Amino acid sequence: MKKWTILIIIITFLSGCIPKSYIETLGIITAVGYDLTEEDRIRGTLVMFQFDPAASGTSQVVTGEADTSKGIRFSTGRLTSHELVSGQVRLEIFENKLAERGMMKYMDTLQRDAKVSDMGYLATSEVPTEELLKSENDEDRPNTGSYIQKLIEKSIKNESIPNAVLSTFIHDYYDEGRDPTLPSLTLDEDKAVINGISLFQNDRLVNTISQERMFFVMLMMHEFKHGQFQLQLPNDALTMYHKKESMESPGKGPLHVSLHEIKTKRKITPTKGTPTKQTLKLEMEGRLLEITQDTDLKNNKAIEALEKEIEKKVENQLEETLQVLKDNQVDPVGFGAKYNAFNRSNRVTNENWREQIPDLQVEFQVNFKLLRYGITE
Amino acid sequence: MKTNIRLNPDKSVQAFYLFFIIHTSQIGAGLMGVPRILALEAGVDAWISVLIAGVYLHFIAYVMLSILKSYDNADILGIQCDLFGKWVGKTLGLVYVLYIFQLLLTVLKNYIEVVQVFVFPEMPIWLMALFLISLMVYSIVGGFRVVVGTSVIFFFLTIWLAFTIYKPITYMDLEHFLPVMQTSPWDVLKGAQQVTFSVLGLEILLFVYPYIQNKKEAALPVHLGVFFTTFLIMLVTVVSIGYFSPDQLKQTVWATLSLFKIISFSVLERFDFIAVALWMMVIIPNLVLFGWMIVHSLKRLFNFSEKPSLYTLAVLLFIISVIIEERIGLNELTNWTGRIGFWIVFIYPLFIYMVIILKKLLKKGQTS
Repeated sequence: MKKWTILIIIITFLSGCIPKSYIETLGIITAVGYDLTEEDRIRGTLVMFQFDPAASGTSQVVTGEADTSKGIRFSTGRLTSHELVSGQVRLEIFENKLAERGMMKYMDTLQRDAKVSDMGYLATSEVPTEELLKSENDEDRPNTGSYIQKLIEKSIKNESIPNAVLSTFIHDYYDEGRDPTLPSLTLDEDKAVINGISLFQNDRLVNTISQERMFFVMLMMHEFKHGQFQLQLPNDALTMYHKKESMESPGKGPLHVSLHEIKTKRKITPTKGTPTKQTLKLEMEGRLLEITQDTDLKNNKAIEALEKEIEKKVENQLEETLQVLKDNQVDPVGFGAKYNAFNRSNRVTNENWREQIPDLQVEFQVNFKLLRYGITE
Repeated sequence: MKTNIRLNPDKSVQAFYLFFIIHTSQIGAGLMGVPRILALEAGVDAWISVLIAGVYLHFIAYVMLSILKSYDNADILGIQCDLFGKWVGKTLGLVYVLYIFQLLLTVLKNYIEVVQVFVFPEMPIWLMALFLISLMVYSIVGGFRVVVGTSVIFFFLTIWLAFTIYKPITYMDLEHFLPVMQTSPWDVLKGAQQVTFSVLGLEILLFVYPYIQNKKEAALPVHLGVFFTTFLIMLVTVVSIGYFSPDQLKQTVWATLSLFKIISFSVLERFDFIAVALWMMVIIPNLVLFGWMIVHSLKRLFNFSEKPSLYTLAVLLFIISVIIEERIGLNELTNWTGRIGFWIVFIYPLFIYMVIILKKLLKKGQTS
């Protein structure tokens, strides 16, 4: 019995050997931005959160230069009295100039370090990330890092941008016949905003797709559950269904429709043996919320015509968006991966798919169904 | 040495405990990394490898049971002496002891490595080793029933971890599995062999059999235990293949733990830390069962008394685990343990069984 008492005492004391960290002495990094300096080094901007019992929600931005991303943490160490820890990094932003050189060498540390969560968000930035993280015009200031993180999180939830967590990016990067995407950020009146989707060839940023086209990239990549978007249709598409009562100026101005609660089902069917020929079938359902011309929506024919017009327009836009992707030789949709899943011969690899992307031909078959059109008729 | 062991009933356990004994000794550090090891060999068809290995596991369990049934109340050490004579039998028994020691060391080292990589990089090896080994010694001192009790308790304390895998399941990309059978059948078989490395521990059946009270009902819990092991390995393999890209999986050393990385609750940002910590409870039954096997075998073979040999074992284990420092050394150790284990656990029983059948035939020939 005595033996065990001694042993238990020893073990209790030995547990003091485990390294401790007191929360007040920690600088918890919540967001990191990486820029490229003129001398080809990396400049890192860390937003760190401090627990101060006296103040609430204090955060600070520190900047350091180094050759590796871990080196930044080291070089910023001299700027703060707090111990910098990276267990809570929820956002990593890369300047475009840096992302154009390939992200993986900077991502390596994120992947290798078990301390870094796989659910942190990634983004690219058109302006130096230092400016982005030091911008002061947002709702959540002074913690701009958490503002941007919430912005991205909300946009993903709203289905306006593709998922941008670290694990998705790495998954898409390694997947054969698929390229990753990230949200692209910029500054607008000293406020960080999303301005499009960055396209990547493997891990190199090649271009940014504008926010008008974002929806159509999303249509190809993702199945919507409750999306929304607006569409401009040809001005005279519905002329014959305009309401008689307001005949004086029914068709004035462009015809816009605003659609809500969009649900889509997408099916990509590759042709056997030829990865560059594919069919994308899209079943869409949506609710009309706004239409800028006075149209008689009681008329079933008007609805049908509207649906036809929307289908035509969407197909058209998808073609154009695909052309943008082809011009940049990127495949964020994963047409190549889809082909691989159903074919054993002539398989697509990351290398040979890149050359084949410009020859990619996708036949779009869009089927739109208008479910409801508001509470007025 | 007597072939058969005579026991007091208060030292033995019911047959259904075999489920826990077999299952907890099979599941250990191996489960943390098995998806990657399989993916390296069999690619996205690794799940077929698991199926094949599962069937083979049941077969070996059946063979082991048949071996044991041809004696009244013997373990493998006694059977070896009976079949091959005293000297050869004891040498083979010593081989078993050395192999289990290596297995014990591998499990311990692998877990310490994981703790260092995931949670406490600064934590010294000797400290972790000391904690785990003292827990091991503490349980084994209590005797066989305490050893079995440990495995039962820790089974229930950790099995709920399997449910947390629902989150990675929602991120699965089922297209990774298509088309089926991209890998050559030979590679799939090699993958199946890799599975067996991660489920070493089945040999414990050959040691604990004499301690079972109702031996007639032993078959069901044994097969259930083996089935549950296969099921868990199948689960993590399938989810890993769906969750990671094929090339990504090949680079993720502890794929199972990385699956836990995306689970977070509002009060708990990083579930993987909890998972790593809880994994200790998966490891401890391993250590305890293997440690008991060594001590028990030494007693059977050379009549060493239990406590001194247990303490010697603990000290030896501690010293060696501190000496093997680098990751490369650990990788080699794990590979060697796997290779040796494959022959000892999954091929050798077949040989024993054949010898027993031959012996029976010879006896028949002599009497008639």
